[in-house]
Amino acid sequence: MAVLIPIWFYVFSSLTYVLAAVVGNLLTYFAFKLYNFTGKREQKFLAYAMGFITLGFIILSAANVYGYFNFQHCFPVCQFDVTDPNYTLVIKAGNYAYYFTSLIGYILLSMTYLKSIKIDKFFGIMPLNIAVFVQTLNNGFLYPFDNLVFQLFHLIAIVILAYINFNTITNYLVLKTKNSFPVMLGFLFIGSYHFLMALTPFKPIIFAAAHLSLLAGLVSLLWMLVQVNRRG
Amino acid sequence: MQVLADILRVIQREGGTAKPTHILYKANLSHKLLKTHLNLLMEKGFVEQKQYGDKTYYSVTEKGVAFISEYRKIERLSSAFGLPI
Repeated sequence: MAVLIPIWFYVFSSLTYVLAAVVGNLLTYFAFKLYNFTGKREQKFLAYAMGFITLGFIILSAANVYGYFNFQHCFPVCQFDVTDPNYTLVIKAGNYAYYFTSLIGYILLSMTYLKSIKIDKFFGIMPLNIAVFVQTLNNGFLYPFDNLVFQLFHLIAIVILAYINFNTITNYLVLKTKNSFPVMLGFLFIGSYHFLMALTPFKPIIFAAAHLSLLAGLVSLLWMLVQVNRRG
Repeated sequence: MQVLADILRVIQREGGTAKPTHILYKANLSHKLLKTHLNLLMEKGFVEQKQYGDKTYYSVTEKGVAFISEYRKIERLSSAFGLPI
């Protein structure tokens, strides 16, 4: 099944990715600041997680902005493999790189809440991760884009985010603070973004709903940053 | 780090200047530990020792105030994610 993207929404989805990259950069900056301050392993995982997720959104937004300006119309909906070869190549490479970095980011974020794992062990298996990525990328270019990787990515992201959501919800229920609420909300919206994205082959409007959910998640996290950095 | 921030906050709550006995009592520290931490805070330039007659006081410097403000932000960010500081 093809991923159904409404043409009218293309500019909005590209802008959402750009906003995600901006918010991600801010989160990464503050997470590294937190890590430099405390030097604790949990904060180290958080900082690297934010860094990888942000890198994914930077790549995705760059590919989408390129795609937007080189867009070849295909009606009534656009499939990735019916446009010009360069467009397909850039979008594919951008998406695969986004899947890869995002999953690393989400895994690192979930490790933030796992007490006994050290970051060195995670990076120890990096050569294996890269080998799998290169092989997947290779297959992606060799065979027609059948969205299997697309849906697989979103399904894995849902599973990892369920664990992250469990921790952020528990944190909010225990602390009930102004700052833990937007974090909980932010990750719930990001989780629902992945859930809706996995359903995009069914109806184009789901693609729009997914991006609105991502936008809501980003606004929540931005709201948290504003609250955290207020004076006093 | 937490202890240092606590000491600075105690002094700030006392109006910016406090006697060591007040800090000792409110920060719930032993005399030996307080002395070590106060020396560290003075080394970093976060507090300064003042002498009024035969009594010793400790004041939070501007650098110390900036540290407390920064530490508060760090605390908020860490607790937002449910992480220990």
